[in-house]
Amino acid sequence: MISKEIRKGLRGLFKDSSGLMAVIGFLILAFYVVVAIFAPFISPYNPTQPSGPSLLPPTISHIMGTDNLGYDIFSRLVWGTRMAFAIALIATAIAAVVGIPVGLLVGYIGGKIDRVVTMIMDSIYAFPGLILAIAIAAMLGPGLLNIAFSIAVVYIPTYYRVIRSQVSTVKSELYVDGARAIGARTSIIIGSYVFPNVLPSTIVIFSMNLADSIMTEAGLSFLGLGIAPPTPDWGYDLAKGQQFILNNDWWMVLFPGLAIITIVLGFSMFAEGLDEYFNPNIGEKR
Amino acid sequence: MNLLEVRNLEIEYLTRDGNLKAVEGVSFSLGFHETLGLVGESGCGKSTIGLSLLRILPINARMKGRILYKEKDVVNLPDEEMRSVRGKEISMIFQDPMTSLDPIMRIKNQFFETFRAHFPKMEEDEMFKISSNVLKSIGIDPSRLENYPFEFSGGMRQRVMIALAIVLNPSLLIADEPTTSLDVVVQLQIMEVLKELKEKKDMSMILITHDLGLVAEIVDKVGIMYAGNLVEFGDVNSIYEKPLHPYTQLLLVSIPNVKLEDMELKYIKGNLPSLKSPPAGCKFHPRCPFAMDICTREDPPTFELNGRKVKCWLYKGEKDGS
Amino acid sequence: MDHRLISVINLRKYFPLKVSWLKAFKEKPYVRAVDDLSFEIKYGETLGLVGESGSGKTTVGRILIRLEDPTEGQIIFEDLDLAKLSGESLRTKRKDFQMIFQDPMASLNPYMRIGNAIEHPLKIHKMGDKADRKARVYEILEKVGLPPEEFYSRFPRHLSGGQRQRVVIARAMVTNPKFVVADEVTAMLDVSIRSQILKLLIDMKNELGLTYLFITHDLASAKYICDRIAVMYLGKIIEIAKTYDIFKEPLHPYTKILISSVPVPDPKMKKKKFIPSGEIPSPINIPSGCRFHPRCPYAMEICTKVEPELKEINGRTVACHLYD
Repeated sequence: MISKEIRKGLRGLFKDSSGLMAVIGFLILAFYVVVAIFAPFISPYNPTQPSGPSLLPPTISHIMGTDNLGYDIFSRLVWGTRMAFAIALIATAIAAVVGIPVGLLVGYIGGKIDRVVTMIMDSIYAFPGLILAIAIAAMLGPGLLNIAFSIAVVYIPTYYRVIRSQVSTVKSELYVDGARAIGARTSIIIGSYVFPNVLPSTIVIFSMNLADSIMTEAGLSFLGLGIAPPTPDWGYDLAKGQQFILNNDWWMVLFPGLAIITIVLGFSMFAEGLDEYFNPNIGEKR
Repeated sequence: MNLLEVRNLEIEYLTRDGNLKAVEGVSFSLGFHETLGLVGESGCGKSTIGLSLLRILPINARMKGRILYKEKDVVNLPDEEMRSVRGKEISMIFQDPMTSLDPIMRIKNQFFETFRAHFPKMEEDEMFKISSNVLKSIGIDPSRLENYPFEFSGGMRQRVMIALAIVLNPSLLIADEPTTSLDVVVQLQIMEVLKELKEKKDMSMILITHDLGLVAEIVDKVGIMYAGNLVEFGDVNSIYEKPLHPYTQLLLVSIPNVKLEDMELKYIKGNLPSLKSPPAGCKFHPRCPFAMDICTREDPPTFELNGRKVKCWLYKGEKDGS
Repeated sequence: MDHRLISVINLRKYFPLKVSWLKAFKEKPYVRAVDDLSFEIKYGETLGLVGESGSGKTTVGRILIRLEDPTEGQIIFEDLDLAKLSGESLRTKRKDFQMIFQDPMASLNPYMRIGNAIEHPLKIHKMGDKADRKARVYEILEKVGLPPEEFYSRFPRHLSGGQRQRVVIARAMVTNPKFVVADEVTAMLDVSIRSQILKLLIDMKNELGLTYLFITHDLASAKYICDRIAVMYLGKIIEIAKTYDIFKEPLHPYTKILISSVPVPDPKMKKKKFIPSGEIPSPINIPSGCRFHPRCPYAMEICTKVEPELKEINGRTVACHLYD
């Protein structure tokens, strides 16, 4: 996963000040959330209608220029924020809703079911994420939910693997034995004793997967498998801009690219900061 | 000259939620060929002192005061010199022998590493010879130098650790809870090994432990620690015969024993203080049956009585010889 | 009248060892953790189960409260064979027998408040309504020496080891069980706290009329709480006697060793202790004959060949050829 590499780099960069990292990540995300919510007020033009001459370089009236159809790139990016968030959140939520319960149940029960399900999940995991998403997206056709679903399939194994391995350690903890000893049903043991103890790690994966799914979505749109144009979408805009790069129309690539990079960075920093928060390295020692 | 002189040692840990005072103004000395037992419960600072003598405290620790080892100040020694002290002059064994040995290295090579760190030019034959002799002296067949750590039982592993620690003939051996993770019978075997070392070798030892009973027959001096303070210090016979500090007194009677005439369970009331928010005045006063008004307000100084030291207001104004 | 609460009859627990499937054709190796154990616990009695690590004592405790399934044998609890119970009937029966674990840091769910943790058994067994349950939790917190107002809504991480062990004791006793297994309950605690917890266990027992199985490696602490003591070595009981008799005159050489291995806080007592060589062997390769013979200072020829049985001799029960 790309976000893993980003996180590694960030860790080296910030070393002791993980708090600062989380704050910067949070600020970036907060910025994009505000942009998404207030898109109608922020964008100067209708993003799906021409608002000036085509292929206009950045000027005062079009601060990020226009594309080949004369759409205002700034407005498209602003509206595209909504799409980025929507797909990322829906995809990650689907992956979590499937991956977490399956991981909990299979991890706790163990045995043969564990071996079978883990094998299935591992084979999905072993498949290159983007290619798998492409295959599913191609099968399902365009549309927000279809895209989200094809991205979700890629990330189900991430949840499953982390949850399952955590559950298999947690279930041998004495407090789980204690719960069995007081006569708790399996459903209650999993719900009240196992799940809360694996929850912190899911929060971290959640924000990490958000970053990854934005990248994947951009990738899908880049390949023309994403949202149907002219709906504003960063990946689609980036793909389109790429055709004009030989023409020296750099603004069509630069700004969508920057948007994708910064939001992914924001999620990654936030995730890394959270991770540090939940696994404190500098603790009390005697 | 003493081998070791610790003066006003203060150690603090910097943590997220404020600083923890792990050791507060501890002073003691240790002579040549003397064995000291540093006794206390968890969080009393005994292990921290052990680590500070080798200057291997965690990075978030801050150390003040003086530790004079053969008149050199360990606190301010340059790193390079400190490295040459570790292992050769002062060495240490820890509670868990499994994690202290490299699991994928033959015992032989772990010995060689130790030699090479201090004598890079030593021949393998010679290293092998010395290692064999040390192992033999500690009750392990030298042929086992070829084995890996997992091929040893817990007690044997701790013997290997001891052999590794003494192979360079250090002047001071620090043993931090060396028998705590072992079974009762094996625990005694290891104590026997240490006792023999004490008799045969020209070496001082510091035994860090929570078990007053275990060290009674091996140490010359005892330091009792409570919540970062050295509350009592003196020679072993007088401390066990007539403990001065109320904590020591209570600790001694609350150890379960096997005497049939003694069936009543005695204990110290209350809990160990938190290092984050320690009680005012004497740290022991909330649990002390003799607590006076002054104990709740002022931290007692260390009083000297007949060459013994006790940090307790009960002994204010008592003269030598009383 | 029958005063027996529990009789354990020919209890065995063999754990299969994981080996490569190539070797598995030849023989199936087992760890014989508990090997043919029989004993009884009377109503209101505290039986001590003493041994080194690897003796199988904890496994016995876990089987008795059915956290572990026995390989063979019966556990007659009043009139019911616990070994045959399973599923729902076992689950509802659990309110009658409880366990206190060794590590108080690990035996509480870090995300559950103290009050909820203690209330949970009541909820599970549908005992009382909400107000009743809260009152009961308050009452039991008071009994274990934790002021309820202060502790009810705290999380375990804010408690010291001793306080947590008190919570675990409260949770184990809140359903008014008949039988409690206490597994090394003081081993992880600080010395000044150990005796407090022992005292609490004794008080709770007297007050609630409990029956204990007290598992420990420390004979000295068993002395204060146990009525009878069974000494285990490599999955077998090698001696069982009244506490007084065990300390007055231990019969089995291993029992003697265990007693003399308790450290005495007296620097002048430099008597030569009775220290055997070697360590407890692995329960995979159990020595032939008497399991203890390789370490026994009195081993005779017969000890290497014939396994001694636990039998009564002059009113004492011991498994050793010295008393044949």
